[in-house]
Amino acid sequence: MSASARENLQKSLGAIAAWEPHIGAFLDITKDEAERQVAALESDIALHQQPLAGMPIAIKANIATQFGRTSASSKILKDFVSPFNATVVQRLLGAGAVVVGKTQHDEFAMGSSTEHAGLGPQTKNPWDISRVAGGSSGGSAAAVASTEVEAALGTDTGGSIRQPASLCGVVGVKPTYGRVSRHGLIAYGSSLDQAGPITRTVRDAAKIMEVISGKDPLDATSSEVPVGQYAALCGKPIAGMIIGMPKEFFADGIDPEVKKIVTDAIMSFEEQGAVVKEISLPLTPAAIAVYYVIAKAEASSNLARFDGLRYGIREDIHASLIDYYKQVRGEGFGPEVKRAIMMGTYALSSGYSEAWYGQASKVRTLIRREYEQAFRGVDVIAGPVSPEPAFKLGSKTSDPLAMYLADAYTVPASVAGLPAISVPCGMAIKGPPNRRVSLPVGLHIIAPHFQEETMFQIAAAFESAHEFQNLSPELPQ
Amino acid sequence: MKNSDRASHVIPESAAPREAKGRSGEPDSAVAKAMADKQARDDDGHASIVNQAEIFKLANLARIAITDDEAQAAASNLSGILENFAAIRSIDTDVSGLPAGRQDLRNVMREDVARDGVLADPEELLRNAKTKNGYIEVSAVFAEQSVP
Repeated sequence: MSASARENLQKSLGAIAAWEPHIGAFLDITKDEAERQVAALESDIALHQQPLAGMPIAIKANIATQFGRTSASSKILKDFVSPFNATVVQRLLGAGAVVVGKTQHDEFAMGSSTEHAGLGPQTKNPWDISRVAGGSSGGSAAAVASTEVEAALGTDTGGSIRQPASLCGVVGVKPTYGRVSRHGLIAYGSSLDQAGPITRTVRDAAKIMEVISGKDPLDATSSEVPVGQYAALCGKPIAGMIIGMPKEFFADGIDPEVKKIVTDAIMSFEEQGAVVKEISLPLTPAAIAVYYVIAKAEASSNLARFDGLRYGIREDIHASLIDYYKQVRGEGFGPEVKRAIMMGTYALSSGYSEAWYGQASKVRTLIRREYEQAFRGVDVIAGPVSPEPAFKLGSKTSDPLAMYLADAYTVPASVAGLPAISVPCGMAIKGPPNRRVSLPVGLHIIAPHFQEETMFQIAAAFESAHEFQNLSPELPQ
Repeated sequence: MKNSDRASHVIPESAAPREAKGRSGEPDSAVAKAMADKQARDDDGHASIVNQAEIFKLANLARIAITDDEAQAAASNLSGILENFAAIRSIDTDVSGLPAGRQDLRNVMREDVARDGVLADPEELLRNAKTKNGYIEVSAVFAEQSVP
């Protein structure tokens, strides 16, 4: 494979040159680092034989790399270059992957459209550049969908890998909480955050998961559970497996076309001998509130470290230390991040904390139990990833609540810590009669804790029966 | 954070009172009903959960300077979001033995010994900061009284 590492890189850089002006997926192109890695692949036979040898890959800008900027797309970390690589990056490089750049996302990963980016270009959907790529890992999803790279890493706190993957027609995986090291991820909600792959095929995602998963001494929450042979399960039959279809995932608020495409996709598992069973997850409507209260509370604590002194922007402000903090943070954080910090501060403040954070934590336990109960009767749970296909740029930016509700189907797996994947399952036709566009729809498959094997097996069975992975967007004129 | 900061931030009694509620009916209809009731109240217009003065207090606690316009927008946005989320407060969590956190997790300990190669180079660590004689330079802490 590495005989073509240089060719792969040239192809990737060529696609970036063609697509970037239209979709703005990258904050930095790390060509020098990529060239260095290609040279290493050419001279090092052991590296050359690694599982991802020569694969051009992009890294979300909230994941630490010693090359390119790790800005979290925020003014407060504008020119920050990390003194270390995140464990996931270190493992990808060790497996022979070639990192070509850092991708755009919502500032500190807070958003569902990449419209809350604090730096750089507005990322657009390669299928229709008047629409969002989803978020927060919108740049990673758009870069993979447009073939700028073969794969990318994203981070998923409440759907930030799965939702943009769904909206861009690519595969996105959120691992079980604890499956992948968080060392070097800029923390948002520490009890929720996971890094995971965005790829064009289920097998590529499985291969990357085999590389990045596993215990890391630098992340105490990473798990000792042995890493499975994910790629080997892609292609294995699924006859006899039971797919749960929660009725609450198809209730009010879902786009009728998305509902039909996803329902048909799930029913098609029966053609492969699987059994589809309707189930009920009554707490589904409560998950959004539980998620946002917990995520914002954790964010308000995590983002306290950005003081404008040790790293990030350093302003020439002559004031007391407290006023310095306030000014730097007031200027450095964007509106959505400030809103998140204030909401989290509210949910944790004296007198409110039991009613909001405490109650959300208890309901979280109930949601987790509800899923554990459901998995006694089914192998996986399937439904939509997003209630609608890619929406128009600007259509939700003035209404934060509407933006939050776009995460209704992805947050339950996040609060329960479950692994989940988005796989392309059809195209919805949208737009006025004179300007119809085809927009990808994703199928969401949620598995029990640490059962990524089952998730990949079922996702690969769907992919090989339908072959939506062969569709790709056309370069805009 | 000073104690006085926390003490000064008191919940208004009117803010989404916790509904006393027993276990009734099917759990799924109970949640759906609570969310639907919430929606009905929203449609009738609502009192703001967080006002502008409270936003300034929160911003001060969070060490963020905000403008009047930002405070006004934040009060309206946060009130709308919290009103929508208030339905989780009526979900019955009075289940015997229900913990707020994960009970199956344990602290992970390790020997307190230095390890090579991980963030060990002080120069590298200080690269992103403004330094003087190997220390990070900051404003004077006791220069003036600034916390209300």
